[in-house]
Amino acid sequence: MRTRLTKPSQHAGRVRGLLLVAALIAVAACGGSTDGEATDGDSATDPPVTTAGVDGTVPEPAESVAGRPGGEIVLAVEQWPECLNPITSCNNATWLSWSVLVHVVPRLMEFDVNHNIGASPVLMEAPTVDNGGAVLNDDGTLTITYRLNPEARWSDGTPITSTDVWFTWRAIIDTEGSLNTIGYDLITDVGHDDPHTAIVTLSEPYAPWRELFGGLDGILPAHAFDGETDISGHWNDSIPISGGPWIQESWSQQQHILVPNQNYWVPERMPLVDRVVMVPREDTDTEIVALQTGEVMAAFPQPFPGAKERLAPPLAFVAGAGTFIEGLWINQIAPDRYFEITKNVRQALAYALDREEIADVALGPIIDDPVVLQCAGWNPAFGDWCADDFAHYRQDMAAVERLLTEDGWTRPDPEGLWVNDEGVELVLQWNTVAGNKRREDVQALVVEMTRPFGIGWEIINYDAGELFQNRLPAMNFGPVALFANSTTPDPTVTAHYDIDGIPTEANGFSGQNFTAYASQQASDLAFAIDAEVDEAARLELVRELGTLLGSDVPWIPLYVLPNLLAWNPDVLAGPGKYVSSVYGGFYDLYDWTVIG
Amino acid sequence: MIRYAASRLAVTAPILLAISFATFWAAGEISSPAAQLTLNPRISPEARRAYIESLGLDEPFFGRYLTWLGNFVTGDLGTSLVRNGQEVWPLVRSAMANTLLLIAVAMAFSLAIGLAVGTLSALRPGSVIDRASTTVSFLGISIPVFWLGLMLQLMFGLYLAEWLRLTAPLLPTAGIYSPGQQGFDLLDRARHLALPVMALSLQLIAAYSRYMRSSMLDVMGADYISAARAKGLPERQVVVRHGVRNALIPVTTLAAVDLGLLVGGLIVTERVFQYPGMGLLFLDALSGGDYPVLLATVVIVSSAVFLMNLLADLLYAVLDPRIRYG
Repeated sequence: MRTRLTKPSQHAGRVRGLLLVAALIAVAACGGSTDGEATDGDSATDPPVTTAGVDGTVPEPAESVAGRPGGEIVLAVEQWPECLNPITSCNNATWLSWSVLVHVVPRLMEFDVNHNIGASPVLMEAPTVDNGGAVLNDDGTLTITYRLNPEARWSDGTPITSTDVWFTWRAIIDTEGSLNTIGYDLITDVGHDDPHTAIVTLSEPYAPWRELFGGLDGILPAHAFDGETDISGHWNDSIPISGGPWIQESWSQQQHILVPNQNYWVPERMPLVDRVVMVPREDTDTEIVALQTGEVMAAFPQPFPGAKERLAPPLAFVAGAGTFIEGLWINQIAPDRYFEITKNVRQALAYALDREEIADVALGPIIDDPVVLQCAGWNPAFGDWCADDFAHYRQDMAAVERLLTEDGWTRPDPEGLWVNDEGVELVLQWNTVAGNKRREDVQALVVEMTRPFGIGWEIINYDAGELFQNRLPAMNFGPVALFANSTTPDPTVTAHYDIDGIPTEANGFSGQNFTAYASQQASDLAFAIDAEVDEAARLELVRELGTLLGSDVPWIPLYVLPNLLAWNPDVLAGPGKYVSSVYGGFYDLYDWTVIG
Repeated sequence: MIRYAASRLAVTAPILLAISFATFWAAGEISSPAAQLTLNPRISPEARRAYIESLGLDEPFFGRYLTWLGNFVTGDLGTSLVRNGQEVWPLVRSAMANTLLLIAVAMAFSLAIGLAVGTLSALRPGSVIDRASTTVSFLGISIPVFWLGLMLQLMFGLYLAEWLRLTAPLLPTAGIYSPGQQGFDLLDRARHLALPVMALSLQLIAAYSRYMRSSMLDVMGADYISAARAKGLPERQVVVRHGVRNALIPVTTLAAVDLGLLVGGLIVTERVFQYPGMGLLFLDALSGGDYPVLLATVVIVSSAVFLMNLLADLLYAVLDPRIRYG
């Protein structure tokens, strides 16, 4: 591999004084190459940098010089997966998907760069209601017919067939420790008589069916497991068979090596380089230094303060909307609430916030022009799902006074807090993860921001384990909590708004309606949305629910956490297109090339 | 001495027990393998509950601890909660080997330089060497490791290579092998060890040189040094055989104590340099709520600290015949 060095000028002054240290161990550096080539990192022209706002648009990738076929790409991986099994808890790690699975595990349906889901190369066409591929039967069952591409084959040459789809279904159900069984548990059969046709039957309508065996999931080669459908003991430290553009050459806790899958049947996705090496760089500073020194060519770091400066030319980066959103979750049955958290109180809170300033404080050190999230809490910020349901909430003293007065609150001291008829001040307990600087900065800002509106706060933060493992499932938080939530481009909504899904002692604290939003109308809409197979009709229902949520305010959306993809444009061409993708910024590695 | 060692070890056992219990409690408070599942709409509450049950996390706190303890004392460190049932011992063994290598090299490097600098300073108090070493030592003691690590990465990974017009970093900034390297390569391994060793050594060199200087100053003023000189011994023999040898006693014990502390104190260094040792294993286990791995690392590291402290005390008696443990 040929690397070139780059220099971040902002560090130059600070470290020149440390030259003294260098003399101590110069001898140890005997492996350094000294071919005399100038490597000051100065390019003829500065590489373009795109810092697109997180406004739902996919940023244009930076233009870069086309590279050459062959060579090796080295990438930094910020969270190294502990194991590789695609069905068990190993797959809780997002980076398992980003660094391994998306490159070697084939999917039936897949998201494109604009987050639209469609047929992958495994299929001849995407099943839809219109083409008869998705049929809601008279008995209430749903049948999906997948026509598989006869060209599709595994890396060992075995064709990808309907038996593999059947096997994957059984493996997801039968594997000990299988976690993501939602939707698969509704499947009653996968017909696989014809090797090129898989007929999936679900016992009831399931709107996000496109993400079964697709989206973030995939299909497995039946022949690789000798008929054993509990695969918990397999594929923990290697995935020997691939159905993607790449195949694993090796994987360990130190590095992951991918080489082109020579049996991949999609010419336009055949990798252009000979090898990709991924190495763990779990500390963000170390990761960026590795990028600057040329030890790695690209990184997909989590957003960090100072990103704009540290990834400045000669490095290049793009920022785009990520799949994690942050907002204020309002727990209406919080044990530590001092009064009822009524709709008027929730709306008043929303009118007391300047969410643009909050987004600036939270994300300003990372990207330019962060954009406020305006849609409901299960939605990604991109695609058709996200409307302006919360856009009318802007700081408005008159609205706060009207809402709270209607609810019986008074403000005896115009500079003080609102007080209810029992003499209780309007003070809300607010929890988030202790030590998370971004969120604690937001808390500090909001405390000051809402003071003129007569709203007070009691900040109590917890370790992540305490908050998410103990307090959240038991609804023992808040009434206000600030945390992130992951979204998918084709979301299921029932879990968030099902009345029966409010975790209570009576139901054993089962469920994920963590705002305790007890609206029958919202619950019914959520069920209807998840049962609507027709996409257009489903979108209308989503809009209806969004409007309802914008009025009832079970939560207050704040901002979308951005994704960053950074690379060295002196050595690498191609990155940037998939920065916002659920498949991670490295998804289109097959299109990347080495320069020079 | 044997009785003394036995009594020290007897005291160690309950302390280790207390440490393991505190770690077990803290691990549950700080994180859990199931924590991140709570907000994932793709995972049903039933699947989450089954996962918790499969890990035994639903069992009573004391029951889980006693089960772990019973297995641990019989040599069974258990299986990782987040690595699909991988056994803990191979993980710890591999990490421990890496950490011991790092410590051994750093200690050897630090002792060699620290003792030499300390001796020279003491022999010429107030000289340029003495003043320079004092200044550098205080700097070394004051600089936080995380900052030093980052500076070393920038210096040797970026700026020196740039100034020397190299096409690759002068020294690799992280990891233990170059990306793509397969199989053992001594030179590659040594180059990857250089920066973590430097980061670790700077503070050790500073401390050892200060101790050695102080100890040498005491020793060189002692009566037996005057006696040695009066006997007509060459100054070199006086310094080496009578001065340095006696001055080494406190420094040796300090190094033995440091050895134990270092095993557990490498968290920052290993994190910064992505060095897969006990510190990094500890951090991964802590963030993932993987208490079997966490407990194994903590108990092993704590044992190392106790053993090294004991070794320091025993060494003191060996090196100084005036000291006897009854």
